[in-house]
Amino acid sequence: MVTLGASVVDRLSLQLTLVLFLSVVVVTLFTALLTAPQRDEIGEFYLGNRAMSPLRNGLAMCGDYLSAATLLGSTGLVALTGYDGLLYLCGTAVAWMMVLLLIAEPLRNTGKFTLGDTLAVRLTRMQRPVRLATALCTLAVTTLYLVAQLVGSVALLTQFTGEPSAATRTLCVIVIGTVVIVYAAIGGMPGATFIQVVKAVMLICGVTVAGVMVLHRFDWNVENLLAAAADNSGQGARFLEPGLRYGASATSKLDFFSLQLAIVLGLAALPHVMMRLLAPKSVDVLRTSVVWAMGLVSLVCLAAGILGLGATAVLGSDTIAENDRTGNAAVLLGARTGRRHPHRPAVLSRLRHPPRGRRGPHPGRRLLTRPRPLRRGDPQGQGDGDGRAGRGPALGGRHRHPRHAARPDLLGRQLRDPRLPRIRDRRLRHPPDPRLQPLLAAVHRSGRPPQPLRRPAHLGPSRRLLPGRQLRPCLALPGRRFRLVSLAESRNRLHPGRISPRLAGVDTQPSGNEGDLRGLRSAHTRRGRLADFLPPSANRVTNAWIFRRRQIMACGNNSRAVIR
Amino acid sequence: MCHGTPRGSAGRRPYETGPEPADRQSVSREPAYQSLRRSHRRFGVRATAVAVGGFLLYVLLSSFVPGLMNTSVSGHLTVGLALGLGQFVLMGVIVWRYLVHMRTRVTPVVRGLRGLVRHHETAERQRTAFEARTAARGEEYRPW
Repeated sequence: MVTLGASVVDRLSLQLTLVLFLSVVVVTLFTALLTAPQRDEIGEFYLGNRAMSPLRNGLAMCGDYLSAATLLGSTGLVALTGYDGLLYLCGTAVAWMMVLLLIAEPLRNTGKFTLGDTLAVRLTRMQRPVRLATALCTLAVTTLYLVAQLVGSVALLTQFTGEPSAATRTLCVIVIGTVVIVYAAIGGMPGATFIQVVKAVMLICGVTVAGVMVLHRFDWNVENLLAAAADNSGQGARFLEPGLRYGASATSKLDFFSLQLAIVLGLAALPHVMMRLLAPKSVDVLRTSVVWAMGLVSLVCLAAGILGLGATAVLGSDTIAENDRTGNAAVLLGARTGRRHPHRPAVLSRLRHPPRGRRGPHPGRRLLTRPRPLRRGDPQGQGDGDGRAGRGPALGGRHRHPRHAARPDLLGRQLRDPRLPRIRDRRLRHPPDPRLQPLLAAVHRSGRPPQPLRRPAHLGPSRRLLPGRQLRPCLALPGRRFRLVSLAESRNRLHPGRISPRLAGVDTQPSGNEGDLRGLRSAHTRRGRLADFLPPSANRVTNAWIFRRRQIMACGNNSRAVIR
Repeated sequence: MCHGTPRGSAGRRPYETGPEPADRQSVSREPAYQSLRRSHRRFGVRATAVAVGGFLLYVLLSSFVPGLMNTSVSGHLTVGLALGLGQFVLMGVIVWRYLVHMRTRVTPVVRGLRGLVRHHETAERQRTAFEARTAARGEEYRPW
């Protein structure tokens, strides 16, 4: 990989990025125009939309706080110096504590538009000097802040143009400054807020996604990430120890301490963040939005730390340092290399067991069935359904209830008429094998309860018998030949007791009342299904009700009985 | 008729105790308000001291006692890195306690004081209107 300056990536993608950047600038200016305050109200220009939700306010504060310098610089610092960079990020997040606890609510309660107004409320007799002093402080702070930001963004922009030279840098400074002034002047606070919200959302999403990709690359094991980072940096285990950058002497250590002190206490002096504390209408909105801002800033700080460690782990400090001495480009490089992930073997197992909706038979086994017509709703005609089990008893399947067997060409219970009521009685749903019917009729005619099933004596002992095999005539009932029926099916095991006439196929008793609900009263004296007494109602609910009433009647009007 | 004595605003009824309306100070003199401010500031100072002081202590320890920070907790995860993560946890705990403190102690008192101020204003307005209505009028016309 060629590593000189900005030629890490090829020219075409650089130019593409530049075009993208310019289009983003154009879109930004356009949105600033759109969201500009429409009326000439001073409140709208300075405070913006006061009815913003806490999340939006928090996003705006987060976007204001996390500038380009913060993100790029601290990621690069982590990539190059490890522990010290992580401390730096920690300090960035801790800075919001003082603001939340001591400054936010009292400021909002007393302030009007700007910080100068707040001071002037307290010092009523010295309005002009107080405001002048506040303005000078603000200018000083913003100048220093702008310089830091411009350094970071110009470094990035000159990379995109591909020719890092002094002239390009000056040009970029002028361009960026002009753009910012224009949109702040046109858009005022509402425009600036909108842009900060958009920027914050993009920043958070981008950094979080990149951090997740880096973690995914290291299999979500922080230990791996730390080990790889320590190994790939030039310093080994010293990378994760304090003092890589600031540990040279006691002076530099105190320097570091004073830097952290300034970071932690200095957020209160940043006017562009403090002015957003004045925007919300009520105090609890402010509280929630500052808590949101803190949460988002902590998230970005953690993700930036992971990103920096990942950049070192993947690329090594040398590559990053060659690219840019301050490591500002570490974010891009880390994000680009985090995208590759190892091929997971878990993916291959999907190919062996393809997900099937309703599993048909295993594709390896083919049944001897003649080709069937397409099922209703089947796009390709695949799927054999139940095979033989779904067909009628002639082919070896279950017996289907006569009410539902009106369409013999249909396959199974999936395609029965849904308007018909479900049959709840299991005895009706699974009547015994119809080949047993003559036997049951004969037993019923004899009037005695059926004997437990015994093997016919004339057959002799221990002959292997299979279902479907025809035997010699049974002497118990001369003149009849029987086939064996599988006892594995529970429907063929009849309870020893009476065999109902319905089971025997004998005609049920003719009913006297038909088409009349008066038959209900004497339902307990009659045998047979209620459907024989009444015409089936078109109303499914009525059918169900009638059936339920019959059940209750059969239990002696005890509606709490559980009827199986 | 017997109105009660229609006097001007200088005279007050016997049940109206306390200072005169002109002498009433702002709500900032009330003891409830003072104690509220004191408690809010006290909590804020203590919580900030814990958070910021804790972080600065962590920085000092990292700089001047690196040996303590290098001992590993598990593998490459050192005590220093673990304390850094603990900063975030500490921040979360402090924010939670702050929200609870505001919800339980500050907000009810603020609501009460706000209602008190509003009551004062309304009472003042009604009082002036009443006195304007019942002020002694001079002889407007001849009664008989």
